[in-house]
Amino acid sequence: MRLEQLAGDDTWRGLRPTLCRTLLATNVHQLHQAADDLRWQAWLFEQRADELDVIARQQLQTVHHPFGRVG
Amino acid sequence: METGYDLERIRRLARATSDAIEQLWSIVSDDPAAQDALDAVRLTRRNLQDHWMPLLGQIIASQALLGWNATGPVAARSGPRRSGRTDPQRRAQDRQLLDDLLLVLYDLTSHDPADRPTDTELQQLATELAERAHRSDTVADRLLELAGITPSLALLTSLADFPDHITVAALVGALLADEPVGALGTRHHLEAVEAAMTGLLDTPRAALDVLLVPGTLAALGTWELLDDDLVREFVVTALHDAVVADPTRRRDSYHVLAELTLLTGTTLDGGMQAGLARGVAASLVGYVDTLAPAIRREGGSEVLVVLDDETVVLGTYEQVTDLFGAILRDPVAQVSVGIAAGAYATAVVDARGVEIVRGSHLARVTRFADLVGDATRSEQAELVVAAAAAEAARRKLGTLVGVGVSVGLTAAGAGSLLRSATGRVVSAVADRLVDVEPGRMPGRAIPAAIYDVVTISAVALVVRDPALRAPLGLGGVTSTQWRGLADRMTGIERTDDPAERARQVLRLERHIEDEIPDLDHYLREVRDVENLDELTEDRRPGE
Repeated sequence: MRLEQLAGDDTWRGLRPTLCRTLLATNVHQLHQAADDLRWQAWLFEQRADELDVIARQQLQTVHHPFGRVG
Repeated sequence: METGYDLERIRRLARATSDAIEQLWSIVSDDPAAQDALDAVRLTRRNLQDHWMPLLGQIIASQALLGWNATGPVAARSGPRRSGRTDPQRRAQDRQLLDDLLLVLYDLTSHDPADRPTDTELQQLATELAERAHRSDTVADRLLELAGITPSLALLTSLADFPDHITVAALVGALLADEPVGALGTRHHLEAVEAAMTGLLDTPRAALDVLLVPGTLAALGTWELLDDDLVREFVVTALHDAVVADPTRRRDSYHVLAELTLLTGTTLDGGMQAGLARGVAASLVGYVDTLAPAIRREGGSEVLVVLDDETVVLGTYEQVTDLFGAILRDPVAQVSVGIAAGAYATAVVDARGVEIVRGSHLARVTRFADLVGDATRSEQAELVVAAAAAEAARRKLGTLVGVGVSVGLTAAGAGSLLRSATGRVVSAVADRLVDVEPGRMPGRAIPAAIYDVVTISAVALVVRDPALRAPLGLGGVTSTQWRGLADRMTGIERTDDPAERARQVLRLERHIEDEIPDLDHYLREVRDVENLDELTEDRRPGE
C-alpha cells in the first residue's frame, strides 16, 4: 500500500504516528487475510465446478449413447 | 521517543490518505461470502478517517514549530498538573514504557499465538504502567487516548491497579469499539471486555460510571456473547452496590434506568441480554421504595421519581411497563422482581407501625403490584413472580428494601447480603415451581399474592408487638385469641407450598371475620386505600 511508504519516519515520528502505523499494519494484515480467505473459497468453488462439469458430461454421454453408459 | 515531522511530506500523506479513504468507500459487494473482507475494508477506512486524518490535520494546522519564543512553548492544556517538572531520566523511561505498550498492543492482536505476549509479560507491563499512571499525567493522558482506540487496553487495565478514570475509559472504549474482524478478533475483544468488567467488580462507583456513558448499556444489552453471570454481577455492582455505598449516587443510577427505559423501545426492542435483565431486576429491591411512589397514573403519563436533590423522568407509564415487560421475559429476573414486590409490601407495613391504618403508603404497594401485573405477559411468569413475592415476605426480606438501611447488617456488606438472601429465594422458588403446571394458577396472580402479603404482614405486626394493640383498637382481643392467631401465623410461615399457603391465608381471614370483629375492623382500615381491594379481583379460589 502506498500509504505505508509515504508514512515512514521521514514524514513523521512520535508516539501517535507509531500508533497510526501500527493500526494500519493491523488493518492491512486483516485485509490480506480476508483476501486470502476469499481466494481459497474461490478456488474451492472452482474445484467443485470442475467436478460438477465432469459429472454432467458423464451423465450427458450416458443419456445420449444408444447403448447406454460408456465407460 | 523522538517527535518530529516534515510538513511537505505530511501534506502529501494527507492527500494520499484522503484518496485511500475515497477508494475504500468505493469497494462494495452484496455477496455474503465477502462479509469479512468488507468488514476489514470498513475498519481500515474508519482508522484512516478517525485517527489518521485528524492527526494529519492537527499537524498541518499546528504552529508548534513556528510559535517558539524565548520563554519556551505555551502549555497545551490549562489546569493543575500533578508533575510540574519531571526528571528527564524518568521522562525517557515513561516514553520507553509507552513504546513497549504500543508493541504489546500490536502483538496482542496477532493471529500467530507465538507472537502474543506471555501472561507474565502482560502482568509486568500492566503493573509498571499502573504505577506510572498514578504519578504521571503524560502516561495517564496517553492511556486515555489509547482507551478510545484499542479494546486491548481494557485487558491490561484488568491486570493492575490503574486509576479509576483510566479503567473506566478502557472498558467504555472496549464496549463501544467496532466489532473486530474474524473469530480471533472477536475472541480477543470479548476477553478484553470481560477481564475489564471483572476487574471493576471491586469498584462499584467505577462500574456505575461506565453505565452512565451513553452507548455502554446498549452494548451490554445487545452483546449476546458476553457471559450472562458476569453482566448480571456487573450491573448489580453498578446499580445496587454503588448506591448502597454512596446513596447520593441514586440520581446517577436512575439516569441509567431512564436510558434503559428509552432503549427498551428502540435498540433493545427485540429483547435484552439475559445478564442485563437479571442485573436490573436484582437491583430493583434498592429502588422500589422510590420508584413505587412515582407510579401515579397509567398510559402516557410520566413516571416522575422524586429524589432529595432532583426529579428524574423515568419515562411514561407505558414505557416503564415495557421495560418491566422486557426484564420479565427472563425467568431468573422474574424471581428478582417478585422479591422486590414482596419485600416492599412487608417493608411498608412494618415501617408504618401504628400508622398502618392512616396515610396512603399501601397505595404505593398496590400501584407497583399493578405495574408488575401489567408488564407480565405469560402465566408462567405470573406464577414465578407471585411465588417469589410470597417467599420474600416469608423470609422477611423487607430489610433489603431501599439503600442505606441494609448497610451494617452483614460484615461483608449490603451487596453480599442481597446476593445471599435473593440467592436463597431463587433456589426455593425454582425448587417449588419445577413441577408446577402454569394452568394450575389463574391470571393476575401477582396482585393477589401482594394482597396476601399485606394481610399477613398487618396481622403479624399486631401479633408480634402488644404495644400496638390498644392504639389500634385491639385491646378487646383476648390472650387466647392472640395465641391462636400466633399459631396460625407460624403455620403459614412454615408452609412451603405457595398454593397451600394461600389457602391458609384465606382460612385465617375467614376466622378473623367470623371470630374477632375488632381485628376484622383493623384489617378493613388497613386495606382502606386506593386500589387495594382491586388486588383481590382475580384472587385464586382457596379451597
